[in-house]
Amino acid sequence: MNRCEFEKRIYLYRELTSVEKEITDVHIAQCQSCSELATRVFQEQNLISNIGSSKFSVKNSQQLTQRIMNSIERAEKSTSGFNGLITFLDSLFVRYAFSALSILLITFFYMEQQHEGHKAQTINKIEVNHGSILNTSSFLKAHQKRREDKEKTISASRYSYNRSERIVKTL
Amino acid sequence: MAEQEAQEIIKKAIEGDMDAFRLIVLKNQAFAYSVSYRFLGNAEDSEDVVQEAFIRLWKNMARYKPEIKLTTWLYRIVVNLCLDLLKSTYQRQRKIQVSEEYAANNSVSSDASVLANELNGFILMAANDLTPKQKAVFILRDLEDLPVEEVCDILSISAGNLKSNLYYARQRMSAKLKMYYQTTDKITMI
Repeated sequence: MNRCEFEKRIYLYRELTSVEKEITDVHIAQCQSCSELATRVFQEQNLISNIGSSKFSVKNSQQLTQRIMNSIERAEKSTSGFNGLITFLDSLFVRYAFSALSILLITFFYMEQQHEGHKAQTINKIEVNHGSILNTSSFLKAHQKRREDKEKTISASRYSYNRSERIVKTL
Repeated sequence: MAEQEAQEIIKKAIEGDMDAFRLIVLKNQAFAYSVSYRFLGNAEDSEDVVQEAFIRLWKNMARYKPEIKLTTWLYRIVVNLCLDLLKSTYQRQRKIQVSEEYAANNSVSSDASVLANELNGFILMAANDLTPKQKAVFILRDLEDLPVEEVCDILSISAGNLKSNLYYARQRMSAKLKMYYQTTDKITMI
């Protein structure tokens, strides 16, 4: 193990396992620079530990406790109305009521849709039977009839013309 | 027996007993304040953090799991609040005032106390130059002397991560202390 790794172990001596501590102690006893570093680091850590043991205390502990409790009470009051609503909505009765209402609504919408579907089907049937938009047979029938009527008119007029021509000739 | 009593108080607080929660506040506010003061370096912000931490603890008491220590949970809230505050620009501006405020608030008569206070203030100032995670690890492990496992739980980090941060924090603090003793010639303190 090189010096750098022992340096890290010296800084983390408190966190080492007992086996790691033994190995590090053996090295410190043999190595001059690591020994000097260990002496300094352990002294500094003792000093920091002493500083840490003197805790910072609140100037007025009672006042801070009261301030905390007052703010909690205020927060509780502001949320109590909302919480009441949440508790009511969370109750078993309301849950069952909402479930029943949901089932009713789903049934109603389903039945409504079924009814609408039946209506649409009937309309389609009517359109297929009597509709004139896409049904060409009715148009052709009418067209043929119009054509026949026209031809009849033409032939009638031609007959009357020929007759009048014959009369003129005999005169 | 005391542990059983503490569990009973926690149970009552979970059920919404304000008096039981007041006992929890009384028992833990000193430690919570001490931790936040070491992070922030001023009384006003530290009191605000402690107050907010206990409000959050009260609001989330129903989610408390007995396998985690209540104190660990509280310190986690305190540390997170402190780290959030340190990230804010406001706190970065306040850093400069820390040592002056500390000196003003901790004026003592004897020479030993003066030196101890001066050193305490110096450590607070020196810790400001650490990264937030290094600072948290240094405060909780070295100053508050919490066990490794608890520090890992509070900061939600692995033991390896903790050791790595602790190593760099101690190295930097050691360098700062060395400079402090060289410039002020107070080697007799160690």
